[in-house]
Amino acid sequence: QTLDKKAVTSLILKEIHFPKPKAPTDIISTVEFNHTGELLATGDKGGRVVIFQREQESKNQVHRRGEYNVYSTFQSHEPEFDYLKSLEIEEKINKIRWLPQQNAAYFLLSTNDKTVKLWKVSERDKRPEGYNLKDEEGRLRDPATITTLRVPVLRPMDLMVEATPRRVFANAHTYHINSISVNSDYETYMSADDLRINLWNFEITNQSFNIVDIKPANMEELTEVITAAEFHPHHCNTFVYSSSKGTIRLCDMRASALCDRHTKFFEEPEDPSNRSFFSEIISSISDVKFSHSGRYIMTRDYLTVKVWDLNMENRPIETYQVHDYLRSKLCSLYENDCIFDKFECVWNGSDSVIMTGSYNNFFRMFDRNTKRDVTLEASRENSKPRAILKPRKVCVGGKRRKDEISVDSLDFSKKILHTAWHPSENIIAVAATNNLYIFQDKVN
Amino acid sequence: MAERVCQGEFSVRVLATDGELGSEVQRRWEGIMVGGLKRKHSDLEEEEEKDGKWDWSPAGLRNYQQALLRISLDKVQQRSLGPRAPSLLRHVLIHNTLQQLQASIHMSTAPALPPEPLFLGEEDFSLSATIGSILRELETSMDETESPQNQVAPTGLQNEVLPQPDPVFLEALSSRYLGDSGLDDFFLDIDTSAVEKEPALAPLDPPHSLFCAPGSWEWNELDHIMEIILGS
Repeated sequence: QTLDKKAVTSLILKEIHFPKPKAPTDIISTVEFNHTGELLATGDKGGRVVIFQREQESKNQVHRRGEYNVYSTFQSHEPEFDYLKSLEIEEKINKIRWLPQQNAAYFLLSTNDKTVKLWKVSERDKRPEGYNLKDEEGRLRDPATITTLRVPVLRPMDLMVEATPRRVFANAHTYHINSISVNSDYETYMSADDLRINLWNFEITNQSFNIVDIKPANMEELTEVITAAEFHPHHCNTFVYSSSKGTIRLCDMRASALCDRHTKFFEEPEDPSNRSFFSEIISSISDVKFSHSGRYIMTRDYLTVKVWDLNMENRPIETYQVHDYLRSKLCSLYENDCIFDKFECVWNGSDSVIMTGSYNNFFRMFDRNTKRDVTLEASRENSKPRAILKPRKVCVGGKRRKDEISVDSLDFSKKILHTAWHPSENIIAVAATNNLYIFQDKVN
Repeated sequence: MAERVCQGEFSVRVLATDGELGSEVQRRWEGIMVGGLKRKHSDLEEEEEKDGKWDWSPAGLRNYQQALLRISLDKVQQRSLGPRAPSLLRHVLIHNTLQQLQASIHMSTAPALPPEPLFLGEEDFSLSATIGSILRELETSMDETESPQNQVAPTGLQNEVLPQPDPVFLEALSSRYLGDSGLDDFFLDIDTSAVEKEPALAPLDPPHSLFCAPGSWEWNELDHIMEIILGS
């Protein structure tokens, strides 16, 4: 249907830059562990959600412990057409966020550019048999033929996992939703688009509260947009949002209904020696994440990851270079649009290691305590299952050593934008275009 | 509908329209933009790597700026292709970069200029930059030609050129030549008819670098363009 037209459009725009992936709709667009790490959800460009479940530990099959297998697959969003503006609304899943588990069922929020949905994922392993009014095939029986009554009994059946949409939160965003975040009160959540942030109650779908609005009266004066937003992990009144100018604002919802005035404003002064025409673009923050402790926030811009202490607004406490060798390539990266790529960043469970992606299917980890860092590659060619990942190195200068890769050989079509870290163990999920890699720490 | 016209090592994205007026301006733009965008993109990158900082020769810097301008304007046009709503983040970042480029180009040609007026929208920026360059050529040509017959024309034209063009005309011109572009897509939920556009042009001092060689036939061509643009 519309699939062919979309494929053609992306072909025209991207063809001269890098080869088109085989199946565009299979590109993974978000990855998220649930709060226990038992489940791992992925969303893709085709609007599908695939949930993986970790195998239970078993004495018989020790080597299979911790493997993730497909648990449920469902179509979360479909492409839509806005007739008023003559625009397609992409079905790509921008974000998935899990709710903490409160009963046997699992709940998650998934969103595309315009609509957030609450999905219930539940198991069914029994079915009722022995109805009085229906026969075994489900056809109604003639009441006149019923002479005795019986109580239906539940009989076991093959496990079926079903996903049902429980709430649809629509028509609240004029611009594209970039973030959703579940509040620590587990009753509300927020959704953020380029210019506004809305607060929702899970039970109410026909209204939401607007808590941030940075749209100028005259759109021609627009110079800054919201790029990401997140609630504090423990304080249900506090949230942060980042901007395209490299700033982070922390807001307290107790101060006023509309949080247009921030409580804290985080911005690092610009380094004049690094100034270029691309300074603003590369300072745009693509992701912001609270640490699990709630004491720090981490931000990702095009070339660096920064850790900020909530108590210090004038500069970050740590800055990590992700791929500084790209600084001299910014003009090319601007021309082929790579400079607009939005990389995400994640904390490990203890907030001691941070991870983010790069190009050539590389991803980077930084140990905050030892200050050591490592570059790894998510690639089928270079790793057999269960082999230990070999650290990679990008060569910037003249002589290239045997295992190094030179900057000019990097494949910019292979970008790792989405990664996730298990909440308590050293298990990571890395999305490389349309492949999902799950790596575990070998030390046991 | 945009057409890509390649001339040697560089390309100019020409904004064509239906009708005679459009094609007239189209041909003139090709002729004028030739001189500025010679450098190949890969050469730019080598320059960038070499120094990393902005202490190039004025000519190198100018070529770099022009190339960035070209790339940015291409991106603005690209945005309107495709059925999906364009990314507001990308638009804002490109717009801010264009604004920086505009400021730096004007600073490099005439340091004594007063600050630029408020940004209008990227369609007006591309238009004002091109109009600005046309005006600069006129000024240069006026300075360098000595024949008496041309002295009469510059005097008359100078009075027309320097005053600000009619903003209503600017808007009509931009919407015709640049199609449904600019921030209209993002305005859809508000009424934009009340938005006023300020005139983009301020009087410019004569530049030091030229887009085209002065000469009487060039002068006549430019004269012709100015008549079209100013509707006189």
